[in-house]
Amino acid sequence: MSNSLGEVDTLVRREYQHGFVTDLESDTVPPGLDEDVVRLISRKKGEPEFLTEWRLRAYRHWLTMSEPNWANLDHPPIDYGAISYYSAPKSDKDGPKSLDEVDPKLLETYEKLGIPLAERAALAGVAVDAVFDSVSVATTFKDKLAEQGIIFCSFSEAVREHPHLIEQYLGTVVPYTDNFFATLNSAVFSDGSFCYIPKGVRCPMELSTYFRINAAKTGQFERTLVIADEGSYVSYLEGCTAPARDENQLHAAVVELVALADAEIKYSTVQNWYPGDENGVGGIYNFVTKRGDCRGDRSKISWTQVETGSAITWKYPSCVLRGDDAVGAFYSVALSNLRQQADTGTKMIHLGRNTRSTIISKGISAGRGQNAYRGLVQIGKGAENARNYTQCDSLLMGDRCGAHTFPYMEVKNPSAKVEHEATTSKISDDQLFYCRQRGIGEEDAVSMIVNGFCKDVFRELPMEFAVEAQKLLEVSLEGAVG
Amino acid sequence: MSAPTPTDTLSAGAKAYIEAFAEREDELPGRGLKWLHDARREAIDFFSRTGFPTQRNERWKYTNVAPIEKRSFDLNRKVPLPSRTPLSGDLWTEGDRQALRLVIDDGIVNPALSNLDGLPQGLFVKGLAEAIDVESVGLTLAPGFALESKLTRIAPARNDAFCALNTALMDSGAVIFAPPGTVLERPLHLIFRVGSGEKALFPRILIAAGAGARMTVIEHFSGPADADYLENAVTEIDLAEDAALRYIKMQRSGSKSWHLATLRARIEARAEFRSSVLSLGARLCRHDIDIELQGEEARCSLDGLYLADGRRHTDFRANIEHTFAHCKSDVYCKGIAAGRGRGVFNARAHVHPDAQKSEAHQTNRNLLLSRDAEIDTKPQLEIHADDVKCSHGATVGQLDDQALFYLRSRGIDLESARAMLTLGFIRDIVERIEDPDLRRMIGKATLAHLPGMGLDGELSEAFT
Amino acid sequence: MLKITDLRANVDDKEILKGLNLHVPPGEVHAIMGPNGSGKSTLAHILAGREGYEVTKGEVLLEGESLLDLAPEERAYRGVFLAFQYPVEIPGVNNTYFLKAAVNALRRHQGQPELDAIDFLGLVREKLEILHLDESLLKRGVNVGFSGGEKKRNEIFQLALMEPKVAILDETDSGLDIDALKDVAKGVNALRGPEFSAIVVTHYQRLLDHIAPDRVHILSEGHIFRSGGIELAHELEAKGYEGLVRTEAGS
Repeated sequence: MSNSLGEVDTLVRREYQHGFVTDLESDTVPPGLDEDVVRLISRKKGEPEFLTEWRLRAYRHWLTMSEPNWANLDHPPIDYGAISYYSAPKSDKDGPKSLDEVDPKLLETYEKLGIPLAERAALAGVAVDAVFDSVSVATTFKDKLAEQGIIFCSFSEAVREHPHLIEQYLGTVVPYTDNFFATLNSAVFSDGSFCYIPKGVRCPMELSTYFRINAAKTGQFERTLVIADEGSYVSYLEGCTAPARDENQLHAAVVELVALADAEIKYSTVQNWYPGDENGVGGIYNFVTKRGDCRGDRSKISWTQVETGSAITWKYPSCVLRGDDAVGAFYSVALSNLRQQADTGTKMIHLGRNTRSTIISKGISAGRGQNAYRGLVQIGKGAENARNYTQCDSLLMGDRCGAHTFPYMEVKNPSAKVEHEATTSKISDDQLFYCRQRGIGEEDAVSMIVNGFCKDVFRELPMEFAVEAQKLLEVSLEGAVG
Repeated sequence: MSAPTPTDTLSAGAKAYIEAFAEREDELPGRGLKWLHDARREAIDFFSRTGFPTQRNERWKYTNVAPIEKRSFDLNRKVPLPSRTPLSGDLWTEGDRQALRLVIDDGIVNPALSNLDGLPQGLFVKGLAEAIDVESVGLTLAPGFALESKLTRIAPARNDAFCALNTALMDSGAVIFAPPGTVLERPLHLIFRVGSGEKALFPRILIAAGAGARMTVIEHFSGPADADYLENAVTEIDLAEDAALRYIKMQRSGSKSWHLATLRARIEARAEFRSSVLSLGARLCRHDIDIELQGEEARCSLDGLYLADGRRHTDFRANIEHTFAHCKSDVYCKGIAAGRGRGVFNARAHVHPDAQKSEAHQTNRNLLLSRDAEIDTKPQLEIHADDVKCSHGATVGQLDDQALFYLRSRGIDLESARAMLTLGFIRDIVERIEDPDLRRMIGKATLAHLPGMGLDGELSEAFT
Repeated sequence: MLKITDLRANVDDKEILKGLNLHVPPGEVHAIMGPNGSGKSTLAHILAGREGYEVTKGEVLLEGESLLDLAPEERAYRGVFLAFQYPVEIPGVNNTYFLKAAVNALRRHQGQPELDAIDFLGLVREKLEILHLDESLLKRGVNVGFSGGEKKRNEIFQLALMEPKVAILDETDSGLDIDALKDVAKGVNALRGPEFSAIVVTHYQRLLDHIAPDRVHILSEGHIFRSGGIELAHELEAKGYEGLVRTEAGS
């Protein structure tokens, strides 16, 4: 096995495919944060008074908070004063009216990343709201969606065009006081996506947003708000890759989902930001707050995530099951290779009657990666007949990585049934030998076994995403055998 | 030496313990032993810095000890005379007059009720104060045994307020040592009883087994139903290579009492620690268990049962450090919460790098039987080696409807059917006790504590 | 003995029994046959008082007294016994203990003295013999780790112990080999007499070769669609349910 290990080793050193920097002039404010910067961001975006005030309240609250330290993570302190809180591509000044007007260099960037924005046909039926740094540069398929009353646009545009919806829903799922990173985001969020599905409408296509981080030392503070009105359905995809950088980059996004009665939201993420190198230099710090509110009866929210990137992932997409018969789900594959650290999981808060939740978490640790599942299942007093099933499995590849499981279950209703199961294992030599004896190469065998391990999660992804996710996993794991 | 000054952030309740230490410092057992006195002072210093834990401390997330802090237990208890009035606490081994037992009444060994006849050569069982006394005058308890290398060394008062308080104030308990190769065939019972009054007791138990020694030790705690007293116990266990200890803890303290127990065990290569901890009484009970598997093929299994009915709060915490390869650990706990009770479970297995071929399993099953009861459970795995078999499972649920119907269709009324299934639920915890006589005793005692299930005499046959 | 009149019942708002009539006189064994989903198991469960079924109309009388408002155990005291299609596993509850509790609960309600351990064991041994059951089954948890055949024999063993007035055998024959089938039949036949009635729910004629029924009923879409003697079971075996329905429609 030692022979093949050597070969495998060289494969590990394969560089991050998406590592390059686009040379674009940025409209960037100087580093540092105070009330003036918050006002400046709000003014630059031409925001109404209520939003400026909301940002300021968040900022003032943030000053009273300190960074959380309970996660199983280790990183140098983040200097929040050294971060620039606003950056927009210069060419945005006039605002591109169509794809033809988009900076060709930008489009080139997407090409390199393998996102054929200019060849939308290839993305058959997928509308892309691409975020380049902080400002949305292109939105597609908008007209087609508008016909059905669906609003899908950048967050800034929604603030201008639909301020009443923003005012009604912003911060109702993740209040600006929620946690250190969400509060920071509330003060300085730059842009993001907004989506509203009207009553009874089934969104005819997968909605998709690709995030990039580019400008140096630029924090990214995306804000996403998805509202599914009564009886509507939407499947939302979010994917990311980022150019290689030596300096760590902070990303603190907030995603709020609201599902009213009988509505369903499927939110899928493939996260492939720069993980840093094998010495732990560089890589994205990803501190994200994602929460869905099943506000209406019989509403459903499911989170599916494939997390292969970032140096640090701190992320707990959650569901508040408020309505009766509401359903929440969390399907996750998280991979930590190199010196990546992931502390991720979910919270299922059961408040309504007959609420149900499912948690399937698959953690893969390789190299010197550290992977933790952290989850909370809470059954409130009034949640009659609530059900939860949790399964979280860890796969270890290599003897220098770690896999950790921290599930919390708090049950206050005697009709509830809560079940949690977890296993930790490695790919067995028997499995590998069996595959290889049947003529399957080691790399292929590993990828086959890993894919099998993740099958329950991939199954939840939309088809084209599932393929991308599998590919990502293979690339991220190349050489991790041993 | 002056007493440490309590910092101003401490509550009056916490300061009372520090003051009690200052007052009693010179009369506590072992004043003449520098190492022990140093350990006591270190412990009270630690407590002076931290005070009682709050729920912000992750280890105490679900258990609030503020009510203990607010109470003023009698801490300045002068060393009393052996109790003249008979204590109400259960004598536990009453059915067996030959049973090996050390009876400790209100912190004082009661020789009249104890029976240590026929211990194997070299194996000794002493009251704590007595054992300390022997060393204080420069004698050794047994060849090859030094109290100094064990007492307060296995459970140093470094990270827990209750362990620290016990270390500072311990004045009763037992020291047991089985020399290498000794086998104690009969179970040894340590019987702790409490009289009336709002007192605080700090029992300390040290169980040390030399290489290849084997024994069974039962700690049994009971006390009057109406007394508001505090038991802050620490058990230190040291198992040398190939030793084996079967340990059983029966917590049947009075239903108004507070029982906080710390157990720390050091387990060397190929040694085996099997324990069953049954929390049946007290208004608040906490078992805080830390196991260090310190050699290859060391093994431990921790069984637990907790009953939280009425307003009872019970908290079971276990942490197992897998430092060496080829070790095994297994936590198997069942809990019932009824009435306004609350059951808390947390077990953590920590597999260190290079501890390959480790096996760590945790199982926690809970029955939640009433609207105002609560279960909080948190199994935990932290794994830094890849060739391991680790798993955990936790469930919270109710009695199975189908099984209830099946029983009722056979003519068993609802209440009995519930009792029967509840019994079925906890049964294997009792059945995992190997010794048939012990199993029967413990089964019977456990039944007596099952929460208001209307268990009749017939059910007690279930454990015969 | 047992009289069911115009019984209608819903499960999750769906009507499963649609006006079922059945009369089983004392001493008779009736077979109920029918395709999957015809309501056989629903009927068995309703007779025993399983929750989750909503009886919307009709009545069920045992010796002239209504059963429908009674708890499952009260029905058991009056002599209703259901042999489960899927006997429930109850880990941790010792089989002997369970049996003794059941027998003594019954005796208490019949005003008989309870059996002590010795008498009970005598009774159990006698019945075990009939069912060819191994005594080791007594020590295990109720149905835990039993094979399919052992579970069904255990049901009939309980039937023998409890000596009910009406036994409902819910597909007791499914999954049994011929030896087990014969033992089951032997257990039931041993109880036959003027004070014992039984409803044998089955898919196949096979069991009926060993427990000769007095009447055979075909249940279809929630009601008794045809009744007859044993020849009806033969006809069914030959034509199948489909064929039988067609014959009926054509006639």
